[in-house]
Amino acid sequence: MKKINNKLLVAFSVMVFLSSCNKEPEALPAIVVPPYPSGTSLAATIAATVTDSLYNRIIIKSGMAAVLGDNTKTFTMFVPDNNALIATFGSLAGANGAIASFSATTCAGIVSYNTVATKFPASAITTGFANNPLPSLIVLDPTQPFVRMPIFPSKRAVYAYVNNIPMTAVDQVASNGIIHHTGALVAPPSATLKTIIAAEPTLSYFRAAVARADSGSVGLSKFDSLLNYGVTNMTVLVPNDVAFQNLLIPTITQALINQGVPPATAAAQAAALASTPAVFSNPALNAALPASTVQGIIAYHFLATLTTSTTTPYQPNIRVFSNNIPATPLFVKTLVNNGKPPAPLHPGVMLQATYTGPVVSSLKISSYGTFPPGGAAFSYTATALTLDKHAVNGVYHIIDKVLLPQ
Amino acid sequence: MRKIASHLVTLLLANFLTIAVFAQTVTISGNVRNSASKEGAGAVSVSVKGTSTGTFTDDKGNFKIAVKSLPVTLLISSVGYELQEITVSSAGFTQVEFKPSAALGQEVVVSATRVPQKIMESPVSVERVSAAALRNAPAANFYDVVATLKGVDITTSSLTFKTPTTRGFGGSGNVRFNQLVDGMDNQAPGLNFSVGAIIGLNELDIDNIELLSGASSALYGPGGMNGTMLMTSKNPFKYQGLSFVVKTGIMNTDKRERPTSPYHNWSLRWGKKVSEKFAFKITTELVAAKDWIGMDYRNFDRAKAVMASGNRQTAPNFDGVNVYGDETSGDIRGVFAQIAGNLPAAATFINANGLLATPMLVSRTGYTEQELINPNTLNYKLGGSLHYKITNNTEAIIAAYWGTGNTIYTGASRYSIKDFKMGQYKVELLNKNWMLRAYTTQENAGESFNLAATTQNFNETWKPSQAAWFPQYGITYLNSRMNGLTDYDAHQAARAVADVGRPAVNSTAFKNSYDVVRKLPVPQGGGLLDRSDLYSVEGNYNLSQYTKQVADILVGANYRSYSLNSQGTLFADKIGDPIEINEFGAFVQATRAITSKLTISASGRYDKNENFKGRFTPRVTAVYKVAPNNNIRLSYQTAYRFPSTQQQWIDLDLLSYKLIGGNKFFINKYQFNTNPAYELDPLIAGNTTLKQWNYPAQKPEALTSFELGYKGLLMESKLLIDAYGYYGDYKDFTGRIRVVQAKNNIPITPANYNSGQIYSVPINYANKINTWGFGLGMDYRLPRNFSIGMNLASDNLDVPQGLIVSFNSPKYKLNANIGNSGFGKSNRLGFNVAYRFQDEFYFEGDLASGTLPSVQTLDAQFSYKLPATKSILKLGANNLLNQYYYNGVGNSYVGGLYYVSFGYNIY
Repeated sequence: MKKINNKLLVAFSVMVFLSSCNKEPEALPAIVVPPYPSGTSLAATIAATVTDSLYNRIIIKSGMAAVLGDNTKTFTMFVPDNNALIATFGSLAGANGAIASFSATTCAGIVSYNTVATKFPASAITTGFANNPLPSLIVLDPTQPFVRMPIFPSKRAVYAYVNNIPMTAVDQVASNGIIHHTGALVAPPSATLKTIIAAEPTLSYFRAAVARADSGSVGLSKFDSLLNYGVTNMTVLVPNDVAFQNLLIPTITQALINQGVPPATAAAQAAALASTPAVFSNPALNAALPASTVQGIIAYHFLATLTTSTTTPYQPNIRVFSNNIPATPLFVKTLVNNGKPPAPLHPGVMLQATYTGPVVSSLKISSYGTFPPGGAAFSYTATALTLDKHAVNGVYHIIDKVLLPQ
Repeated sequence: MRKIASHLVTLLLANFLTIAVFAQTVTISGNVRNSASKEGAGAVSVSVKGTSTGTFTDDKGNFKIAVKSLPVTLLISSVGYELQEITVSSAGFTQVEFKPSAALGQEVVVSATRVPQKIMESPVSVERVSAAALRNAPAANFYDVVATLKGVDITTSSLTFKTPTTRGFGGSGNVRFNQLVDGMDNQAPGLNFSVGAIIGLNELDIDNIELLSGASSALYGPGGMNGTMLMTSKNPFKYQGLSFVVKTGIMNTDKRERPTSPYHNWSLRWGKKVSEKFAFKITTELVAAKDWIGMDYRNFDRAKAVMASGNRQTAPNFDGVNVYGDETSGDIRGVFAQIAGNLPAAATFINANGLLATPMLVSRTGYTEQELINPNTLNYKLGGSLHYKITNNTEAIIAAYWGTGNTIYTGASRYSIKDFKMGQYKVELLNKNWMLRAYTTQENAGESFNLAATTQNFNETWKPSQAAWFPQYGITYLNSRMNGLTDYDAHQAARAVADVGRPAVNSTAFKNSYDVVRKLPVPQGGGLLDRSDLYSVEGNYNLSQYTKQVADILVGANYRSYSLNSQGTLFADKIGDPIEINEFGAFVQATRAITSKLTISASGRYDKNENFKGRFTPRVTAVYKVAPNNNIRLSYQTAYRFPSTQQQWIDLDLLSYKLIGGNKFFINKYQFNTNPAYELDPLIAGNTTLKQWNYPAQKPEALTSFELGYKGLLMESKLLIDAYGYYGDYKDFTGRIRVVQAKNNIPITPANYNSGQIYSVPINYANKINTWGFGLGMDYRLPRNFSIGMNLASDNLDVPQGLIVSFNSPKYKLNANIGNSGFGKSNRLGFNVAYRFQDEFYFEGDLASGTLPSVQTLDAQFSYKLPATKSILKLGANNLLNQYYYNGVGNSYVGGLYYVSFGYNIY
């Protein structure tokens, strides 16, 4: 019995031993959460760079040093070095004074605008027209936080830009991102096109023409509304007052002559009538300046690209800085292309820039139509007088001629 | 036909009227008791030698028998005792000292040939579990005893839901393995799983369990491809008296799944022989416990049907095996594309970060099974039967088994079987030469619900996926990325935002909403409204009394009618218009002893289902006696099965795909003729050519099987060896494949198959599938009533690469046990220790697939008898070492269960 018991004990022990090791389910390789980088962050890099000391002050004042020092996040920054800020504000003293005068909110706006939350090395910047819009950290619509104020890196020839500012050095690597240095401060716009244009003393005829073109229109189909719509991205070629007068006076003169007014009298009356922007709201000139004609002319000054929209396929959705325009002629569609056929086939306007180094020294815009009518297509060329006037919702260039679609 | 019927009626009448009428003038009374323990031996057969007169001892071993005259010779017999003859010369009280037998292999089985024969002479592999074996087993549930039999695999869905199989193709809803309770098919006609563990026999009422491994269609009809288990209850003429067992235990002792919880199992049986003509029994059982639950939180790639890396934190499209609601998955690139279309800057950002380059699938946040499942498992069984002896040889039986309960089942999802009810009711005439039985199975799914569908719909109720959750997720993800967050952090932020307001599990809002959704039928909710029924009539006749000069011949026939009634929630039926499926079959078996050593049996069966062509399945067996109690058996068997009711008619929208049957009806319903479907898996694998699915006619699957075995007693009948080897060849094997059909008029192309409607459809594989294996069992009777045993079995599959057949059987499985049913003072002590090992294998299931680690379990019990009341005190443990295991991916993790029980009048 004892022998049996011993054997049983051994058998039982073996069973216990064997059954004491059930495995857990097969272990699959875990997905390793990518570790956050370590090292010198953007904020620390800028702080440690002597030539970025001015911008570092802006960062500190903005209260964003912690965010930019956060290695759990990734950014690309467009940082003006000290020389760039001195150039922007005229002198070191000017730069210091400006920075001192900036509020924390202003500084936060500047830094937020200069920052995009992805690694965007110079190699990612393409030369394609127009540019590579990127969402900055400025949220335009809190209810739709992905609607952000864009910033526009681009490349033309050997130069890289952000908006219209050339980059002076690219791809400085920090642990949590990349720094591109710029030749000047890339300041965020603060007003819409409508607001800025409204303050331009030489653009009163354009504003009046817009009002005339909008007669009978509603909502965003009004140019005025469009110019004031914050969440869009436009390029407007804005003729100045002289340009309008140069178009209007001969046009009205011819209309008066056609009504039987002697040429000399007609010229004098036309000059008088066109001497103020009220010319566009003068009922007596409704026949000479039909609203539809004015509407077509204004539409021709809004650059547009083809979208998937079935109602208005051409949308004013590109922001073309002067440096986005090549040195060779480039045809760009306009809102005219939304008109009835054959309007969609309209070749648009022809743009051509002349560069001196990285800077556009001359910008020419040619229209399909000519003045007086009958000239060769794109032989009627305007020159940009003022480039890259920047607004929240777009950019405009002041030109010396009214472009004519036909 | 009329002539045949006439003959049959004549035969029946002959049997009814063959009443041995004689004057019974002397009554002998006596008692039979165990010569060693001196306890009364109940249910012992006491018969008058040379006559058909006989009776059984009652629960105390007492008997009375009327005889014509004295002296007579009484034969005293019972399994586990030596046959005893005593001569009674006077009518006084006779005390019989009944000597326990040390010999093995004395059991009689019926299942192998449908006529009683010694298990040693069985022509096919058969295992038998006696009531005595159940009594001495450590398992708390008798299904766990079945698991210790040679070659048996058990799939444990939950505490009370266990599905055995042999020779592979295991699974919770195994349709290739018959389970018969007192001759009634225990498979739920609608839900297709056998419910023996939850609605079947009370453990106290089990006379024996016979398990027929391998093909058994020739005798038991379609379905027994892999085996048949016959559970036979105790006849109240033989087993009398009041018996009960109170079993109380604890589970979850390590609090891994839930706090330590009690286990209760109370069962009662009362059998009463009112007279020599009439007896009845009543049985009832209640099980109450906190169930085991599935806790597999691995990520399952449902498209590729493989486990994937990651968890809820690291894998945005995480789909946990036992997590529900996360099956809803969407590509948030649609959100990005919409934003990019309106915002050029966002477009540049999105493109610069490659957010549109590849699908960005994210899944809804799910809830774990632990959070969703009502932990209370309650299982109540009520049964009873009335027995009337029309003649000495003919007994009429009316029986009913009814049960209700909650449990957890694993199918295409995990199902909470809630308030499930099923009743089986039969009338039966049993004669020593023939049998006629009619029964019905009435199924009511109660409030059972699909966990995945319910939780997916619950999530939709709380926050619609397409209209709100995915857009919120996508926008927040993009915004987070625009704020500089990494992909990982952006996903965390997005989920946090999309899940704002997500009802907490125990909140009133959660409960109220979940309760509403689970009661709604799919696809709006997760409820199953199944009320399907089965009606069956069958009979057989042993013609041997007329044919024994030539051969022993047995004939039989059956008719079945299914009524599938799910109100369109499970099947393609309609309210008030159930689907009917009718089938019938007939068999004949002839057995002849060619020589004193060689017995050959041949049988054949013909079955016809209204949806399929008729099919003939033959079987030939031979038993060669190499020495007394040493037999070699050889068999050629064929088996086949009609597709299950679900494989024919299921029409279940599981939201991420539709599970449909193979009936031609579905061609029109889903317009496969005009809007073709294409095989999905090749597209997922990168195939650039569409392969159209032509919806071929569904066929029954067939199996041809060969088996060679040996069973013998050696070493003075103390060592029983049983060994077998088999080879099986499947044809038209029924599996499933996924197809995809164009939806919303978006054509299916190799690039955009995700846009289509996915169906899971039955398929008959053209490939041949072969199985083979072997088994070896040894039982040795040691001195002093000790016994040891072990069995080893192996099942193997040869299948073409890439074919998914859900073989689900470990290559090796080993059982070993050691025990003693009576030792110590007055043989009052008993113990049993059982060890089981099963090899690692790859489990393929509709819910999930993956490698199952090897499993080892140790069960043990120690008992003490109180002979005066035939009571037993037992201390037992299942999975003694509390080593959690699971034997089906997605199934419950089973830990240790420790119990004490008191059984009264157990015999």
